[in-house]
Amino acid sequence: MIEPFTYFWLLLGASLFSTGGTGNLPTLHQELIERGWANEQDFVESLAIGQIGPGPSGLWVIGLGYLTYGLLGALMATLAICIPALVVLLVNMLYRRIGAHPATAGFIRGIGLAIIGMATVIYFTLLLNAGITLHNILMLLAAMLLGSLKQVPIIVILLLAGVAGILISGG
Amino acid sequence: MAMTVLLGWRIRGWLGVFLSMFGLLLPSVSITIMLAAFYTSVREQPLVQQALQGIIPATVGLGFLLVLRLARPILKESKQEGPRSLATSIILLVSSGTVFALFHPPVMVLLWICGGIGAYMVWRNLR
Repeated sequence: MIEPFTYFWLLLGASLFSTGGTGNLPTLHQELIERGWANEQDFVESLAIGQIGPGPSGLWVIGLGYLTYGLLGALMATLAICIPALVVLLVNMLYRRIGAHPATAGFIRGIGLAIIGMATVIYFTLLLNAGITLHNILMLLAAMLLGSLKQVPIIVILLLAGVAGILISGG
Repeated sequence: MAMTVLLGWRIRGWLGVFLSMFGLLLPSVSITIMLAAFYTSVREQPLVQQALQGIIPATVGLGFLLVLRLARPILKESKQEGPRSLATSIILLVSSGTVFALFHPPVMVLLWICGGIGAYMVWRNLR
């Protein structure tokens, strides 16, 4: 049973310390799965919804909110990603004072690298959960290849993957 | 989103912040919620489950691509600073992932430690 206050607090805390996009993924993955409030499938599906949907890439968390806690979850997630965006005004003022110090850039770089390292592990976990099969690996590599050609929209890649999934499953 | 807030603030203060956030988020959040709601209503359909067999690994692939795209400029910048900086960045990247996978520490703790190491290394290089 999801506790609304804790749920919102986790969403907010993860987004406050996020560097944008999927920066809140490691914290949310750890906290929500530990509590049994989300599963690996919810994460991969909400990441897909976030890829298809318009707007900033950080909106994937709204999909996660909806899949795990319905409309209330989606609204909480929206609020949780808006508040840190306002905090940026405060950070901006602070940054004028300490931003010029190279150690600040080093601190931000360290956080960025940690998020990248943890996100890589989470994507591996999602892959393990889906199964390391030949067709999954081929699909993954094809998506990476098409994604690296910036002319192909993400929605087209996911639609093609969906059709391939139906064909492979014998639908 | 943060950029939108800053631009809104510079153009028209709090009103600018409100309007810019509203303009950015209202359409995209509404569509994302509708997509999630639609997906939830068809989630259990056999055809959707079959499509997921392709969509899930593709989403993971796009995630790996994103990770590569995020890592590339940081590593490039580190490389320009010299071998010590590049080595530090690679160690931070690999060790944070390894520690996270093996010991499941609280994410915030890991972020602060890595941020602290990053700041210390830059400060030390300057001395």
